[in-house]
Parts: sequence; structure tokens; C-alpha cells
Amino acid sequence: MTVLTPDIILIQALNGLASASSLFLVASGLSIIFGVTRVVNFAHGSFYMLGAYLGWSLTRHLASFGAFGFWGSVLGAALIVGGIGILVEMLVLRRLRRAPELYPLLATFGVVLIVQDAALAIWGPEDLLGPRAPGLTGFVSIFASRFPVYELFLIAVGPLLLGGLWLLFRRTRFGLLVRAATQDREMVAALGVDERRLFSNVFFLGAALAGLGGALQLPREAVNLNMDVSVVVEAFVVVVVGGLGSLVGAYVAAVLIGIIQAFGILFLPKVTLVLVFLVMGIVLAVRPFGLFGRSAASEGLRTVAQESVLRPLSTSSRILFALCVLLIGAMPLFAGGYAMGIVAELLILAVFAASLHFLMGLGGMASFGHAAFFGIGAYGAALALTALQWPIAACLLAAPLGAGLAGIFAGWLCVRLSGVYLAMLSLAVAQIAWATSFQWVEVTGGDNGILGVWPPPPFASRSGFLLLTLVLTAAALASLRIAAFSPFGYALRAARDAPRRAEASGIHVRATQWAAFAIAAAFAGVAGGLYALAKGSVFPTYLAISKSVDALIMVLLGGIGSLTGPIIGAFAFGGLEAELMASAPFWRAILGVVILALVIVAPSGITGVLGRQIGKRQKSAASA
Amino acid sequence: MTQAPVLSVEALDVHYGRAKILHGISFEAKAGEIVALAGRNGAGKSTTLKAIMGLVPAWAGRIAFEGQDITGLDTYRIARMGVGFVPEDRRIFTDLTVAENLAVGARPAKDERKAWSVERLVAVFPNLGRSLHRSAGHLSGGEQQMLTIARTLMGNPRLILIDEPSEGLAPVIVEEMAQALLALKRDKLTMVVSEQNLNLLAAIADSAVLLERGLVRHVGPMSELMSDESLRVRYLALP
Repeated sequence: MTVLTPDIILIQALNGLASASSLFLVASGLSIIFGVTRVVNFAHGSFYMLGAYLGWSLTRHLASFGAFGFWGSVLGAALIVGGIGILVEMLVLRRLRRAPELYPLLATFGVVLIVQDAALAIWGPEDLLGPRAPGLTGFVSIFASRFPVYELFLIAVGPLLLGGLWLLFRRTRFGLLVRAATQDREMVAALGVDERRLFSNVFFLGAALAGLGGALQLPREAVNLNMDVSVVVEAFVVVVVGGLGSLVGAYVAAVLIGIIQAFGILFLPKVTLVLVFLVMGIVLAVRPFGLFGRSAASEGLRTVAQESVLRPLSTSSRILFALCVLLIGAMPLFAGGYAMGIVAELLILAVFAASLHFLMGLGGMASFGHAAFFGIGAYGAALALTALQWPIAACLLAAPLGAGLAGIFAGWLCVRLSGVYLAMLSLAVAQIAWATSFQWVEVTGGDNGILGVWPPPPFASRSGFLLLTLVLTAAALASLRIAAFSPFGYALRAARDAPRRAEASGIHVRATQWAAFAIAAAFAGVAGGLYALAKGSVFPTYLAISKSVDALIMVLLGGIGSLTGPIIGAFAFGGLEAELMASAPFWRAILGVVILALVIVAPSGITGVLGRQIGKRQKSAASA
Repeated sequence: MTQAPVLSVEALDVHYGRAKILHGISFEAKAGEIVALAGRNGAGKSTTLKAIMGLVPAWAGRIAFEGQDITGLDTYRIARMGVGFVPEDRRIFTDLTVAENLAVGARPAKDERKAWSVERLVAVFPNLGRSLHRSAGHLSGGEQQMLTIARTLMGNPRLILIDEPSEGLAPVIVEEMAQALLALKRDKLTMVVSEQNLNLLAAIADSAVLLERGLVRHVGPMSELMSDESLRVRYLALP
């Protein structure tokens, strides 16, 4: 146990404040962009990372100019990143202005993937050490300890920037328009303001702030390829804890998170990751709109476009599904082990996607953390099999049970909110689960995961496992379908489309959504349990953000307006990913481009496009 | 030589998704005239105004402002050409002060008429002058409605589209509203006012366009509508 002496307290507090400043730089830009454009910009961490890399390159080129070279590089990096922000806005997000809010979000995740591979291609995989800041290389003595001057400088940057932004928003026409547009951008356009220019400017500002944050990290830490996602998740936490749209809130939250981390490392190094998200969960449970937030900002995040009415399967589709099941069931007769393994995995992904679709498509609750339940299911089955030596049936039950229980807890927290806040809270819950699996080494094996999770005979063979998977996944998909057309499914959709009217007609909206959350979690657990057996191992990556995003992509790729969508999306995405990861060197960038193409060209997904084609044909047949 | 009307709408069609809302709407507003857009709830009054403003896309038809085709233009361009829009649900910026609300709408005038300033607006809407630096969210309903009109005037429009100005207002406030609109009319401002309150329309409008389920049923002088009870009963269910 660390002994708390006054100098340690002071130094850790100062460390916390220094981190808070850089966190605030990123979070403020995120908050401003969200306020005006309603885009939850996942790529904001990429802007931060690009700021650091560009700053590194610029300082090397301008090294001979001394102090001017360093500070010029920092500013230059911020400006270039601002320009990249404008490009992202113009090329991608501008095309998605009328799409449901989830699409821009996914698009920005596509940008994340592209930037990751671009940075890898340009700067290589090694960590890069930046120069010290000229003039700020010294130390000051605090009690008996030495504290870097640069950290003191960073501490001052946060409040200075907060003051600068305050002046910008209160004293300039640009700031006035930003504040007005944050409240009602359509009305601002009706008063003659060019929204597109305003959006571009806002993106420039937000991206440049993130770039500045990244470049200012150069003297502090090595530049690396993992900076993007870690900082953007922390920035999300800061923005949500502070209250969306409140800059003061973002600064206070950044300080809170910075201090918690600084002291967490001292006392509870094993749970620092969990601690941050725990604080977020507590704040949101007590103040759903953050410390300084107001409820108005929570509107939005439509998940489903209007007029997507679910229809029961036609007879021909039923026959088609039955044929598919028969065909897969017959695979052991003609297919090889590799093909059967792939198909089993795709079936599992289909259940994972369908469970998220249940929550998102039917319930209107977009979860960014659905992988948590997939992963908990996987760990549940794996632990039951390896540590507890349970029979296989019990293991397969443990998966949905564990995930369902976690879903009951997470759902209780999450359904109190809606829209972006719900998405962020689900992300936080998932990050807690991820951090737990990562840091609770005794049980989960930490980074090494759990190995040797193989099903016993008769399911040990590829064919046996495929048949087991087929039976369970077909049953799971059928149950989700039946649930959608049950009274519960109607109530859930009513709660999605018109919560007040649903409430007035006797539906307990929150209870319905809570139940849906738990059900979706349990089905994700089914998928996770099977996945553990299919892979023979479980790792913390099963609960990571990228896995949650995979699920979102599968649902949107297939088309959210149809129950068949997630199944088709899972097969298309799973197949594509297997193909890409096996062959292409820059598969992440390719995946990113595919995501962008998907949301821009075919926002209604595969089923939407197919549906339109069929509709056209029927129309022309009818008129002929 | 006859001047082009300030606004002309020809055979305008609007769809929301699969539902067709407007079926070939046509009407005109001449310079300095107040045109009443009357009809029951759901007749298509708001949609017509939003379509003129480019807030909902026109599927077919042509909209011209001072002879120039504005169909399909971006909303902000239409606003900059000189068309003002006052939405029905007020939509003031409640986080901003009254003065800031006015500043958002401010644009330089493009014709010879005297440009609007905060001082001139305060003369027309005295209540706003007393609370210029207060948060707009603290205004009363009537004051908020006056603010939406004042905010639009700051852009020095030559035509304004006003959607349901009397909605939810007390009769005495509606009377104030009528006086304000008449003051604007004396300033040669052309207006299209969508409204259900016939008394307000009778006090200010020159001509009336009667809408029913997305169709124009009658166009004529306002006085005709007021004297012909059968018209009112048929399309407005009012004696």
C-alpha cells in the first residue's frame, strides 16, 4: 500500500490535471461537433493520433528552427488535422445528413479503420519518440520531488483553452451561429445561414483541437498506433459525464477523470480501467444527462427509418429458409472441414447480429456495447467447461444465463436513458466488462485468455459441431422472430415509435425495454458460448469495442428494417472479413472503405436494396 | 406592364414517404399583399409553406420568387434571396438572449426599403425591448411568437411566410399580433399567413386561398370568404 504523503498527493493531483488538459482538448472538439452536426464522431481519436504523428514528422523537418520549429510544428499539425476534418465532413458526412444518426457514426468508424492503416503505412508499427519542448524541458521542485515544467504548461492549457472557446462562442458571429445551430439547425438555415459552411467550420475547429491535443502529447509520451481508440473512448466518457454540449462540463469531467486515473494508478492499479467507467455509470445513473447537461440534447439517434414495417415471412421465403437449413445440415455429406467451420462461425455471427437487431431494430435502442454480452457468454461457457468441468449442455446454458444476468444489470442502467446517452452508457458498461476480463487474470487469464475450450464428442468433430450449431442457432433465430411478432414484440415496437402513446395505452415502456435488453443480451450470450467452442479459446478481444462495432455493421449491412437483414448481414460481413483477413495486407482500410460505401450508397442495407428491386418488379408487373 | 407576382406557386406536389400531401397547389401573392392560407388541420397549409422554403422537397411543380425559380434551392439560399419563414411551433433559440436571437437572423437589406434594426423592431414589438438581454426561453408565449417574427424581419425579407401565428395565444395578444402584421403591411411587406383564426385573417388579409386535403378549393378576395357563409361551412366547418 502506498503511503500518502502531502507531496505524493500534490504530484498525483498535478499529473491528473495535466492529463485532464489533453483529454479536454479532444473532448471539447467532440462535444462541439456533436452539438452542431449531431454526429458522434468516432474518428475524433484518429484526429488526435494524426496530430501526434504529423507533429512528430513536422518537428523532425523543422528541428533546425529551435523553439519556433517545435511550436510551429504543433500548430501546423493542428491546422493540417483541421483540414483533414473538413475533408471527412465534405466527402463523407455531408452525404449522410438525412440518414439516421447511426449511419454517420458507423461512417466515422470506417474513417478510424482507414486512418489506422494509413498511419501504419506512413509511419510504421514502431512507437515514435518526440522531441522535448524547447524552453520547457526543466523541472521544478515540489517538496522533495521534481515535477516537469512541461506538465505545468499543459495544466495551464486546459483552462486557457476553455476561456478562449468561451470567448469564441460568446463574442463572435461564428460562435453565435454554433450555439443557435446546436439548438435548431433547420431554423438557422431558414434564417439564411449556410449550414454546410457552418458544419465544415465546426469540423475544422473540432478536428484542429484534437490535433492540437495529439501534438502537445509529443514531449510526454511515445506516438503509437493505439492512441486513437483509447483516447476517443475516454473523450466519450468525459463528454457524457460532463453533459453533451457543455464545455465547462467537459472540463470538469476531464479533471475528474484525470484525477481518478492519477490516484487510481497509485492505489488500485488493477482496476483503473474499470474505475473510470464505473464513475461514468454512477454519474449517469444519478444524473442521466451528465453533470452540466440538459435533457434536450438527448433527442435523436433514430435507429430505424420511418415506415419500415415488419412483415411475416412469405411462403416462398419460408421454403427458402428451410432449404438453407437442409443444405447446411447436409454439409457433412459433401463439404470439407474448413468450409463447415466457416459456416458454423457465420451461423453464430447471425445470432449475435440478430440479438443486436432485436434491441436496436425493434427496440430502437442502439447499443455500442453489445459485444459485452457476447464475450460474457463466451467466458461463461469456457469457464463452465474448463474450470468447472460441467457437461456440455450445462456449459451452453451457462452462456445465455451469464449474459442474461449481465443484461439485466446493464439494462437496468441503460433503459433509463435513450439515444446517444444510452449508446454511450452501453459502451461504458461494455468497457467495464472488457476491463474486467483483461485485468482479472486469476479467473480469465487476462491477455492470454482461456485456451483448450473444445467441445467433447460427439461435437468435437467439425461436422458434429456444425450440426449442434445449426440446431441451436436456428432455434435462436426462430425464437427471436417469434418474439418480434408476439404481443411483447408489438409492445416493444410501439415503445420505440411512440413511447408516450405506448405508455398511454397501458404498455410499461421502461419494463418492456428492460426485458428486451436482457433478452438481447441472453441471445448474444448463446452466440458467444458457441463461438468460444468454435474457436477453442476466449480472449478479452471478444468484448472489445471493435466486436460491438462488428455487430452494428452486420445489422446495418443486412438492413435494419427487416428481421432477415441481420442474418444476411452476418453472412456477408463474416464472409468478407474472413476473406480479407486471410489475404489482404491492409484489410482494415479495405473494411473501412466498405463501411463508407455501404452507408453512403446503400443505407437501407442489402435487404432494403433487394426489397426495392422486388417492389419495382412487382409494380411494373402490376402496371403491365 | 404588369409586375411579376412576389410569389407564384404552380402545380406543387409534395410527398411524405408514400403519402401524397399536396396535389398540384397553385396560387400567387402580389407585392404588398397579405394572402391568407386557410383550411382545417391537415389540409396542407404548413407543408405548403415548408415546401416554398425548401424545408421539404417539392416533387413536382414550380415555385418562383419575384420571377426567379426557387424550386429545389437550398433553404439558406431561398432565405438569402429575401424569403422569411416564421415556423408554427415558434422555435426560438431558448439558450440565447433575445438580442442574440435577433442577431442570428440579421442580414443586410437588398432593396431601397429602410433596413430593420433592433430599435425599429422594438418600436413594432415593444415587449421585446424590455427583455433584450434576457434568455429567450423566459419569454411568454406571445412574446416568443413576436420574437420569431422579429427575428425573421432582421433578415430584411421582401416576402414572409407565417405559419399559424395565433396558435395558443390569448385573444388580446392575437389583437396585438394583428396590429403588428398590419404595421408590416404598411411597410410594403408581402405575406403569406397560414391561419385557422378567421377573425385575424379578416382583419389583415387581402385574398384567401382555401385548402382542403392538399387541394386548392377556392381562391378569391378575403371579403368574399367573409361574406359567403357556404364557403366557410364547406371548407372550414365554420359559420
